[in-house]
Amino acid sequence: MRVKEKMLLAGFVLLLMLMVTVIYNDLMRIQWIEKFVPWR
Amino acid sequence: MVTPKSINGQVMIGAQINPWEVRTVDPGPLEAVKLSVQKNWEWTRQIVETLVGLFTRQTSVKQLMGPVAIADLSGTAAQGGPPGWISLFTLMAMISLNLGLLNLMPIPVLDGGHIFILALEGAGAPRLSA
Repeated sequence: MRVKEKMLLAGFVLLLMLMVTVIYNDLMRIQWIEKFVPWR
Repeated sequence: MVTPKSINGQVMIGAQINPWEVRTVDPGPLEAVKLSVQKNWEWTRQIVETLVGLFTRQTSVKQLMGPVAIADLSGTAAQGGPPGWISLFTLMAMISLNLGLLNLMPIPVLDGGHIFILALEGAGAPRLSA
């Protein structure tokens, strides 16, 4: 059971990272938001 | 009979070659199912190629779109051209197919992950489920 829990947690973290990446991409396509990001 | 006219120094006959072939298809029910299967297969291949490209670094992560871009695309599709609903329904079909395929990825939280774990157990691996 512990192994399955660890696998589910890893999958969950992977999906969260994917979600953060796509939302970041989305927001950076909006010009007025991009202005506030110093590294762009 | 075609009479060429000179417009701004260029002689034109009023016709041009379009780079895209435009065809109007009016399929029957069976033909529609066949066209649907063809289109879905074509999109499936594209989605799989994109996913593989993400791991082989042939596809940039910047190409991925989330909910904000999907909302933007939906608005554009709904407004675009006289048969706006066609592009909107096409986009809906693509998103649905994308969701279905991504859900089948062997990541533990997704349905594909459950299938993967059950397949491992079925193949003789130690039991992981409770």
